[in-house]
Amino acid sequence: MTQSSPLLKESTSASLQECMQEACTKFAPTWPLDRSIAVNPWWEMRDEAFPQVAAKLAVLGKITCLMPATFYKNHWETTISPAHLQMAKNELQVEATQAQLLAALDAPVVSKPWLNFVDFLDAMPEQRTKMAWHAEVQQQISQFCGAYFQYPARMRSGVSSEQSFFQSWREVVGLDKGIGILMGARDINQHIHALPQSIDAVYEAFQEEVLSEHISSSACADYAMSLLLDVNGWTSWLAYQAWQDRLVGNGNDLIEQLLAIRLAWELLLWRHLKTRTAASYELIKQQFLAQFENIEPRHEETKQSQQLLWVWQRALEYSYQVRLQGRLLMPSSPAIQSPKLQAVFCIDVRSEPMRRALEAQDPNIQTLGFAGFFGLPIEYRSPFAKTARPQLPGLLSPAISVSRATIDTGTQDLHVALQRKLSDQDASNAAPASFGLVETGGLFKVFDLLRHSFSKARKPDASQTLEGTSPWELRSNGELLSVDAQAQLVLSILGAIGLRSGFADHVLLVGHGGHSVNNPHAAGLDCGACGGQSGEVNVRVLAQLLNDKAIREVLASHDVLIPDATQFVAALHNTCTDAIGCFESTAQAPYAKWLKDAQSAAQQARAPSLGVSSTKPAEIATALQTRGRDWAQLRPEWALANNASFIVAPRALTRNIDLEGRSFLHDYAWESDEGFKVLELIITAPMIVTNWINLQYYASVVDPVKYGSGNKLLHNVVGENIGVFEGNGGDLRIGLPIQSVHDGAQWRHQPLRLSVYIAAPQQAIATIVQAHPAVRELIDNDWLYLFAWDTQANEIARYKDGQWTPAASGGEHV
Amino acid sequence: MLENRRTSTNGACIMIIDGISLLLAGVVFAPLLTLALCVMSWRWAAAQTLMGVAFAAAATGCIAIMLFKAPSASLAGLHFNALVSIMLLLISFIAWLVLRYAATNFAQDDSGKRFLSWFSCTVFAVMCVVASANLVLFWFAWVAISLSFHQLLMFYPSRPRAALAAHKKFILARLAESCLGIAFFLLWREHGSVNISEILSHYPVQSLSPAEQGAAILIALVALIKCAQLPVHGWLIQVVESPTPVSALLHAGVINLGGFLLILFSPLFSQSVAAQGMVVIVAGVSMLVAALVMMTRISIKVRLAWSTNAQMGLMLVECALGLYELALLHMLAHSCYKAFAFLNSGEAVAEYLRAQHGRQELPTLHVWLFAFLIVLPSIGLFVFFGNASVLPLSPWLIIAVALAVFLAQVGAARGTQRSARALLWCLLLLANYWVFKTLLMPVIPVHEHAYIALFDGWIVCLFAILVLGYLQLQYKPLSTSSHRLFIALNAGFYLDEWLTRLTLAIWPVDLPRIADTKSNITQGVI
Repeated sequence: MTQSSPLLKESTSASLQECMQEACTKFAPTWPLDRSIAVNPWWEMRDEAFPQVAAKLAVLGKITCLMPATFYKNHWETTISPAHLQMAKNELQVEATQAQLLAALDAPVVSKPWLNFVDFLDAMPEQRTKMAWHAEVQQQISQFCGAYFQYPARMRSGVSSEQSFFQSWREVVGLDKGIGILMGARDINQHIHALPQSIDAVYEAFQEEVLSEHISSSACADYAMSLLLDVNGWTSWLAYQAWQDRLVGNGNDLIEQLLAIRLAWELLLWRHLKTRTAASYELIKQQFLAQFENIEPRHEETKQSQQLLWVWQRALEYSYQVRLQGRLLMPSSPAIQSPKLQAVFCIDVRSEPMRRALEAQDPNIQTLGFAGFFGLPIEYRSPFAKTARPQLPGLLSPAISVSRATIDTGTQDLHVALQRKLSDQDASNAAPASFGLVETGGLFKVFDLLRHSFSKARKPDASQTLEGTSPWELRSNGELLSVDAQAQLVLSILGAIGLRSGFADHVLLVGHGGHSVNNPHAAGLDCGACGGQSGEVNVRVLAQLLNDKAIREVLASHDVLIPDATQFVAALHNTCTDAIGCFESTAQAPYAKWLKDAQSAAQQARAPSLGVSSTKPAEIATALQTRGRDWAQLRPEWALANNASFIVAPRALTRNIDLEGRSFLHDYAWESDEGFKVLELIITAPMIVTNWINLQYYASVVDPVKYGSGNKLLHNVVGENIGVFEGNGGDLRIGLPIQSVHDGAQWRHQPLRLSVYIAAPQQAIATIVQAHPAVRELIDNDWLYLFAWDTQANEIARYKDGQWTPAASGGEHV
Repeated sequence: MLENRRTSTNGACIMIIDGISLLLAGVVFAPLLTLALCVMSWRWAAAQTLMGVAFAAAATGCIAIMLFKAPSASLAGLHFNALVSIMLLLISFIAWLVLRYAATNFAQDDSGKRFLSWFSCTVFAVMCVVASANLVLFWFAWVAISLSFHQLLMFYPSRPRAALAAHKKFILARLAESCLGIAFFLLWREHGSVNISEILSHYPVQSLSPAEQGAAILIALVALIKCAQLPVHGWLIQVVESPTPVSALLHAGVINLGGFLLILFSPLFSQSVAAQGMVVIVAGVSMLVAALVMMTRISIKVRLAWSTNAQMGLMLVECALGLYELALLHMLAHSCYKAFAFLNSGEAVAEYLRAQHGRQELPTLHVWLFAFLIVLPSIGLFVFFGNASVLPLSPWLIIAVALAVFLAQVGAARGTQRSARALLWCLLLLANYWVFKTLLMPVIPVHEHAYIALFDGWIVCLFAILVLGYLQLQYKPLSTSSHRLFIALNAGFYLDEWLTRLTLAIWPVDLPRIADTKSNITQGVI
């Protein structure tokens, strides 16, 4: 039998291990809460088409990658027109009438999910009133992972360093009398003690006892994927560990160890059932093994059943794209010749309404969009913190370390205040001290309770503020960067921004940051390009570099002439309140009024979406400020919700369009891009980042259980900064909280795949895409849409599978 | 309808007492009003205002009673004295702030109405328990607390773990209520009255009859169950499956009723060595184990829940040692502490970031010696000048260790300059402790409580073990014994698993199956 098909594998355990381990590479990382950035959860599956992955995930993890039918139904004839549906149908080559498509919305999507062995046990009738094994296994692994990563030294101390994760688990589970007691299965303890000693042995035993010889390798990989999806959150955490190790050139096999742990559980329960109830064992064994035979058809079946919903999803995306394209092709305003003020913002979608508000103040105000870390590959080293804080996208590792040259009194005072807080924190965490401290000092918490409940102007936490005025120092490998090196850095940044000439007297460098309190996911509101931090350090460092006379001299020798009158000013956009503040006194500055008015306008535009009903600018400003600092506020801002497109073009072309805060905007003029080096950078870095953000929101909406972190009312921070549980336990939860995408009545994020519009020659775009497999996979496998926007001919064409096709002109649908 | 049981020669005094009673009765009924207003669209604003006013009224009443040393007064089955007014003050304060918090939490949420109605019911029932003048009302209100609170614990009914925990709690609550019912029945039979102050006025007696002895033991048992002491603690840990404001209310306003029960019945409880012994043993062990387990938790809310368990243990132990005013102080202080900790639990990440800015060094032997050399004489001075009793010894030990740990940690990590400030802070804490202890003294109904050296010694031993365990885990984190201890603590000694198993054996329940479907999240959670 083993010879009859190329799919079938020989029955050596190494091969089982090998083909199961393929699944370990399919999980995207999740960053810790204090530096959380958006991640596309399907990043490592991008080599397959999205619908294919969706079907597979539906079978293996009961995951849905599409909205429920009712959602599309609600959009029919309001958002989605028959024309959109028609276009979607044509593109996906689906033979179905409109009536059939509508009928599909009433027919439930059937998918026959894969069941792991533990799920079979739970399906047994006598299990009804017992704890579910699935939940117990997940809980055991999850609690163990939490302990292992919060107390690594303690947990590792009892075992050898080789495969310490697995070994430590073996030790903990071996001591755990609780499972047997709880599940009413005392024999479990014997089986635990009889578990194989090493990972290899687990596979060997499983192969020998469970699987018969004729299991195909792809079915094994699917089975492994299903096992890992049971603990998707922790798998993602381990993927982060691997990611970090890879950045510094190491590797680790933690996910492989986790898979072995999960497989060991299957083996355990297999043995348990075998010795317990022989009759059910035979039955379940048969059903379980039969699954391996028909896994491929099952994927195919599910894909078929989802096909019509994909048409609806595509139609929804068309409804946005057609409208946007129509507006992009409308006549634009001419470029500004001599700007009075220039302001560089992050590409973040939240910048767009703010930029529009600022531009509305004067026709000669020019704004630009650039990644919010401003191209600085830095980490920030606070004089008092133990570790440096990366201030750049998660895809990169920092090359330069910045810090204050001297510590001034302001910083010192902050530090003292911080230390006082810390002393309290430490002591009340010590078990023997907690009793006496509560008894003697607990009543003082009355003041804290009142302050947090009523005080409107609470100061930001000292650990997150940068006081002081002393200059910044840039170091690489401990050595101060030379003026030349700094100038080279600045030169490349200016080139990437596209700002090498035509400087205004004042150039604002606007970073952004959130402003929420009592919010475990606060970093998610900060600048993703700065690694989930506020962009403050980056703009302040860059402003210093650009204002430096010595550096300007070097720049001049490279034909970048910055007039003496030009001042670069670092500023911060507070995205919770839409306030813009500069890091130097602007009372005398000619642009102060513009900023103030732009701020009011932006706040006024945003107020209704946050439930602020006032119309007076001052009241709105106060209301937003209070709201953001309210410790009970679960929805401090809508962050990047509803993002849908990424536009890479000169701002002049989009300046007249209200993009509704749904677009990432990157300035780019291909005419001045020699060899398309800048374009290549944009396509391979910011475009990937926007894809990550876009699909994180998408995933958190289509499957809030697996890819969203759930209800903030139940959030329970795990391991200080690792992530959250929803409630008492269960898997580690990744992705966005439900309150970040849903307002209690409806979704605030419309799940659309990102549409990328690049104003550059088609040939240049195609060449770059073909040179980068990851980018090509994103495009060809339907993870995002890439369009070239020919601004001369005023045409938009879509690129897929190496072909350019004209995009649907939206004129008639606007 | 208004009756004043105490005779007073002074008419003005009667008026004041009547006024206070009316005011405090108003406080008790405030949550009933918030419940009635639930149907209105402006329910949150109204409820907040009402609870705010109730808190102000409770504060006024409490101050008036303390100032005028007003005797107990009754009104409509309720009675009001200093103890009751303090409890009402605490509950209305917590309820007010939690409501304020929840109003924002649920601002855009349909389930807010459900929350507010059951929240109001629970608070009303708690206030009735606190203020009830007779056993019948007390018992019914007691039952009402757990019934309405059950609805809050099951706020998201589709969550299997919430269901399991609430189920456990449900059974334990019924058990506690039955015990309380029997105890009250025995008291009624013994004294022929259901009026609580009338019953308690019989004590102290020469010796307790078997029925009284039984009642005392049952009441102690009820207190232990209500305060979720080991081994019936599991549900308290697991109900972090309900929204944050529910946890805050539970840990600050409901769980501590066990302590109130013992304080209220202290005239009876003080005379039953058996009841005290039971409390000292069970609550003492809970205190020790829970405090150590707390140090091994991986999530913030579960850690806080274990901490409550330990703190409740100490509160009950203080009752058993006859230190009722301390127990009351502990209850008040812990309520504020824990309400804040739960409501602010989202700051965990910010706290982690803050900790990145500090050195965490373990104090050396010298620092420890230094800390104790400062703390012990300070406490000695307080005992001496504060005219306090040295016995029982254990509470002083607990304070001394707390302050010493605080000083030593500051000294080790942040140097002498900060230590001077920390020392001032320690003195402030001691002064605060002494002031409130003295203030609360007259509130307590009884002060005749025999000192039993054995109990005191037992608590000193337990605390010493706690300190040793802590030092072992901190100073030898990687030794084999620490490793084993850590893993066992991390598992909570598997105590709860036994109870869960038992619960499911006694009373099986159909648990909702894994909430892994989207219909659950969109219907159940939002």
